[in-house]
Amino acid sequence: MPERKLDDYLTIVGKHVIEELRLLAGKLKGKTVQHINSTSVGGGVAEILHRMVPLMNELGVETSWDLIRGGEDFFWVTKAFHNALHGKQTEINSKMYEIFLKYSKMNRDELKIYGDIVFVHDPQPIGLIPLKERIGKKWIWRCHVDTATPNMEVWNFLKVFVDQYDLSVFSAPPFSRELKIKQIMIPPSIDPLSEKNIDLEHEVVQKTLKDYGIDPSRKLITQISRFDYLKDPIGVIEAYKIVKRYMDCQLVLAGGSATDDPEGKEVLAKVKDAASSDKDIHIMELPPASHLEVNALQRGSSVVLQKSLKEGFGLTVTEALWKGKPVVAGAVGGIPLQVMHNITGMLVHSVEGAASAIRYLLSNPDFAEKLGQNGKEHVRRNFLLTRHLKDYLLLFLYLDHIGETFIRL
Amino acid sequence: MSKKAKVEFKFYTRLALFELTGRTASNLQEFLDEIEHADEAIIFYHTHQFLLEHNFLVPEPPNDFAEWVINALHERALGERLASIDTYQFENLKLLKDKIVKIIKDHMDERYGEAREKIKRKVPEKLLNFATKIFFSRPQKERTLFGNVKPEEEFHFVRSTSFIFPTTYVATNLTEFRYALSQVSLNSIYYHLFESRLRFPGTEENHFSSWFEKSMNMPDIAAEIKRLTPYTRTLEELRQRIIKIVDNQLSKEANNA
Repeated sequence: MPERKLDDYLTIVGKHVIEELRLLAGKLKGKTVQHINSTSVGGGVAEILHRMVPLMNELGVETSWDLIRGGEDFFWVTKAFHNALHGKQTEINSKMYEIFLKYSKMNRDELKIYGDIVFVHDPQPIGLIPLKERIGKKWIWRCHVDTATPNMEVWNFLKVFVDQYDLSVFSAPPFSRELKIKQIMIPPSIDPLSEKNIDLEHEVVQKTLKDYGIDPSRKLITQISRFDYLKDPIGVIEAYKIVKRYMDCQLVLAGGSATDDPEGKEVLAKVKDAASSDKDIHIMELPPASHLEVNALQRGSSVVLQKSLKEGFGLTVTEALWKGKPVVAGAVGGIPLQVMHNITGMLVHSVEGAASAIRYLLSNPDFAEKLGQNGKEHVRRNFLLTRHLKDYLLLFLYLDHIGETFIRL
Repeated sequence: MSKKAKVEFKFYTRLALFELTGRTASNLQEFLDEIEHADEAIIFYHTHQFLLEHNFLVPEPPNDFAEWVINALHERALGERLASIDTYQFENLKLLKDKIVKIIKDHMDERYGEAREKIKRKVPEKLLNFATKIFFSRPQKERTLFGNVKPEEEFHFVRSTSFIFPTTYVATNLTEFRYALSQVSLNSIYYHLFESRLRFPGTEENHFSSWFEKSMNMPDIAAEIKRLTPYTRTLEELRQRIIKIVDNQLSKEANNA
């Protein structure tokens, strides 16, 4: 991944945004920020930190990134916690809490805390917080997980740690919980210069579609997401079949490989079965690094669908909006922050609703284009990496003004 | 060379951080209760901040309260009334909040009244009075004739924290003001034109008008800027409009010279 400079974003977000970032960063001169999480590869947190840390340093805010340590047993436990926070049925027992506490203590003993601001990401390193009483510093806990309907036992276990931080951060309003400390809303972001989002030549898009057996001259409906019941892939096929009664179109359902996930395998088998009678339905299992392919599929689509029944923030929606595509999406998780009905996309609540929204968009290209333009602008202002940077800088400044609502710097 | 200002104009800008309050509403009664207890920073977020963030959209959505009432509660008449509030005519957020509360209360009275009339046709007056008494004796949160939305459609109350800080732009005369105005961010323009007035009780005018009147002795320009609202124009269009007003003045001065 090439290291980006702030000026690389100038033409995308405008000089004012970059100027204001520099002004804000100036107010943090002399402070050091230490990010802590559990992995430097894979997953959204690592991806964002790889981009964020160099930009923070370029802005003059000394920023570093450390990892906690843990054995296989620890990560098995934290994976179970993660699923439980998502509201998935997961078996949790007292042994698991013991393992979590054992590694938390080990990391408290081993990890050097040197930042003026200690920025802890997700539940894995949450147990570092008892250090605060001894060494001071300002501590922030950033929750990247969808905690809208968590397993309460796990949440209450973690809440004891969360309440000791100075501030907490959640991605969208439905994820906030009752806490003793302030909760700040900072949505995630996409990087417009990443492979998944960078502008592509028309020819590249066309070629990618053809390579996958898709006809670029015909209408294309696409949903990019893993094969999971919560993404309602069967509902997507049903909606497509309703649309197909009235107009010619193709459907792409593309997601990561489901080989390691028993439920994913089951969903994929059902999806393939539902799609078997129609050669215009393309089911794709893409390798994890297929960023350019996903980019091209989104750009080559007439309508992008995200018919989720439950959703985290929904970054695939952000990606599609950024490409100026009309989006039809379920009104769940962080999606309503991004899709305002009939303004930046269309929100739906049923298979029939999805079908009629798709039909309407395919039949009214001017309206579809308008939604796409609004959606792109909405993302430019609110969901790009530069906005994320700005929010973090404000968050750090807020640590000295907690509770105030009008702050003069 | 245009006239020198008595006091220079320093351009500030504003950025905001949003706090999740954990307060939610899933029906109209809860919505009203929460708004009645909301502080100004919450009212600001759902009215002005929301408009600021979506000012560029065509069509521009109404304020956040109206949006939810229309799309989640499907209370169209109430939604229209909330959407038609001219947010910018209110001198402070307390007055704006009072107006919102009054509109919702009036609507609920109307709806309770209608429901009562319907029931009256089928139920004896005495029984109805008894039922009404029971109804109003319940805690306010449970006292609703209006259905709950699904959990994922709940309204979440958010508080806006504004950060104000100086930019590098300063104007000591009309030409410099024009240049600075063309360079600063829309956040800066929004702060000087609208937020400054709302957040500081007793500030009657926006910063630009105040400067033109007191430091430049140009009451006509001050009055013209005072009439601007971001309702019919985007902030970028407002910027261009003020630049045009300044250009007209500069042309006049050039012709008189």
